[in-house]
Amino acid sequence: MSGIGPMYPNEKPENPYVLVSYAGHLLGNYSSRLCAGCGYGIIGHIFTRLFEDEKLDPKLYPLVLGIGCYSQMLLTVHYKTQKVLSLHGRAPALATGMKMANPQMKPIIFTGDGDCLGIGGNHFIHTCRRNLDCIILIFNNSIYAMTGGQGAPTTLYGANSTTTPYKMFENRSDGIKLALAAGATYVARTTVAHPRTFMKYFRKALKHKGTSVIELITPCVTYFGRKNLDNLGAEHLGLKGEKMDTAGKMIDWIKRNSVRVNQAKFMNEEELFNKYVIGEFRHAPDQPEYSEEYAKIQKIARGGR
Amino acid sequence: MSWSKIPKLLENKEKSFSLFLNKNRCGGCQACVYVCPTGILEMGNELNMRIAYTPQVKEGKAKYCTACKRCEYGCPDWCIYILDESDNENVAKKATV
Amino acid sequence: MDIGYNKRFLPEGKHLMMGNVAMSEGAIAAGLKFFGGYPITPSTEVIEHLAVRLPQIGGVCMQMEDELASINAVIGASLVGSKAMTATSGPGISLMTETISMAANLEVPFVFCDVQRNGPGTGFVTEPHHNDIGLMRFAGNGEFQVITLAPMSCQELYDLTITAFNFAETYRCPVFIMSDAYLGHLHEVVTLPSKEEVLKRVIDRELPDDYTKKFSYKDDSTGNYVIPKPPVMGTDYCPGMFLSQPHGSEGLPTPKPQVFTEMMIKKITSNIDKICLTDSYKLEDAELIIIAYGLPVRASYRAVDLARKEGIKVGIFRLITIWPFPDEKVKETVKDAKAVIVPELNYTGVIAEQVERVTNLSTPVIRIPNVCEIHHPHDILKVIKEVAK
Repeated sequence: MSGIGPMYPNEKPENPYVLVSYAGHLLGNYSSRLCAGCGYGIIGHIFTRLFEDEKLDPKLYPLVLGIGCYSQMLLTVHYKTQKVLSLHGRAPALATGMKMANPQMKPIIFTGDGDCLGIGGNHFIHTCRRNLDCIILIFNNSIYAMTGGQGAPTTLYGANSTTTPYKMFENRSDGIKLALAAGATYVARTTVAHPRTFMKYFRKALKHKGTSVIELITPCVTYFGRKNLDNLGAEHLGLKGEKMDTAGKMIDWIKRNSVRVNQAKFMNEEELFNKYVIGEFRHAPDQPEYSEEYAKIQKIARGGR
Repeated sequence: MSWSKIPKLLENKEKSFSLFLNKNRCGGCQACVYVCPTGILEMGNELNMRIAYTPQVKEGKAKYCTACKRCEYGCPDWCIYILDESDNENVAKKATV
Repeated sequence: MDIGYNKRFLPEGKHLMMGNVAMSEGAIAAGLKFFGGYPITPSTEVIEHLAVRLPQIGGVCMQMEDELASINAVIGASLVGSKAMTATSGPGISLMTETISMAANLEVPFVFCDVQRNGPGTGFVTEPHHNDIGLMRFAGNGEFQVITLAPMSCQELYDLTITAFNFAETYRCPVFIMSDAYLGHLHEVVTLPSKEEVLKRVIDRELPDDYTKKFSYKDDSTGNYVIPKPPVMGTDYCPGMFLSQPHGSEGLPTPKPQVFTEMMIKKITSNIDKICLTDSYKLEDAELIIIAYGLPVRASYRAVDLARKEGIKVGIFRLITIWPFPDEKVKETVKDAKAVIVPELNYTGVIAEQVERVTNLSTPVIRIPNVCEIHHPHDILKVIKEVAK
């Protein structure tokens, strides 16, 4: 079948989660077109594991994906999920229509940093403002990887990309601050180097009623790692850096550049300059949720019957 | 189709789990090497089907593996994983969250 | 505007309604359950009326933050099994074209009402100008066919909306209802049929018996195109993924994009005799034929009556379906005519070009362009008399 990916020889005993993924269920073997070391391979594995272990009902949790390198995850998630690939940046709007037409569903939205904070910023703000019951996962690799490594609104200061070949000088946009200002009720950020923390946050978001925004910092080795040096988040220390050309070095860099929320309260702005602050930022479980409020309006419209 | 066996990197007979590595699918990204808390993995010298170096266990360190599954959660190609050989409750199963 | 009726069907009989309201009532009678829109003159009354009526019958009316969000929400609701529509004007349809092309690829049924206003750009917002006809045919990148209906009165706005929903469910392509700023705001008497008659006509969204094929395909044994019922997410009748790339009947990517593009076009053109609705008036012995649609037709009826009294043999061939253009029927009608007159509410004469293409320029085609003013019967009568000489 053209367009699915490279095929490896069949070997036993195979990873049990490969057989349960979509491509594995169709072809019996893992196949995907991701680069070696791409963070989306890790996320696909964790998501399939969560879906299988929690035994989620695929009719109640549809997946809505945007356009980007994570669209390849269509082939690696669990085979029972019902997935829609929407347009670039419009995934939260599509999920709004799905949720309001069938209020029992809880859409899980996969977006990227350019998809959600660039072209789709408007839809993201209004979905958080309405506090619609859905889970928004933002995969932040600080670059537009699908089209070849262009700079994104979240690219770090001083980084090198194909459209910022001299250096990136724009103000970095922060998805967590945007979600907090717009009114989302469960906001958290974690990285790919802490997979068990991500599983804990995701389970909490499944039980939460309201918009949950979980941002994940992922490595893009081919376009961000190979062109930038190790000392990117720590210029003020004056270290000599080397290129991050394998995923191991890049995951190490992410771990060094992450700062926990409680620790960040004691650091001044210069130290926090190019770092990622991780942890839970807000958890407000009892706020009014959009589809429930609309059900009350329907009751009023019928004359209170 | 004839099935070939996936090589076992190490086997722990008392706690009955084994660490498997699918050599053909490995991309040589070194994530498992950097993530392992006891530091028992290192990169080898042979190239595989994807023209990349694959990991191997350091000499004499196989007994330090605790089946914490951090390498399994961190592998982008889903090719290094821990499977247990017996049905009763053992270390490998306890490591899941 | 509070009607105060808590039911899906209004009482049978005569009602005085505005055009936009008649169209909303037609949509509710056809089973509308989700409306996503954005206020834009001259289609604001649609969302205002539905905001009162849809919660009364258990539906959802959402005012989204922009036109792009409203059409995406409509597609999302239609994927989950609700009948959905949106209403906008010229600038809105320009914004929504990318999503319309995605919906055409995924074969998602929805209805779109375009209440046209003057253009290009912002234009005079309260004047009619039939300038979106070409945009409706080529709405979005890629090759696909759409269905466009053009009502001429408020009664037709009610009836043709029910027909539009039926076409969307059967043929699974974008369906447009073409109205304009004057027709949307015209108050007329509408005779509503009884509840049983409407329910007999309406095609509901239901699950088929056979769950294997979810998208349209060509049946090699008979050579016809089979269009299965639309899949519903949240049930077992759903493909593995909805990916807007050329696909086979199961939803997986196919190695032959040409077969897919052929299916997109031919599934509508092979059913053209069931889709093309037309009407004729005094056409039996006509030497001059007027081809018209929408508001100019009403002036043409009066002009034809006056001309017949003076002995000129003229008739009207009214187009109700504009796209796909009824090539065979028009060729058949104008074959013995001496000339064709096409009064249109635009300058370039979009439908006149289509008639010229069909007749191979052998019959003279005379345009009566008019922008932002409706035709007076005497203008059309003057042209008829000139041509008759």
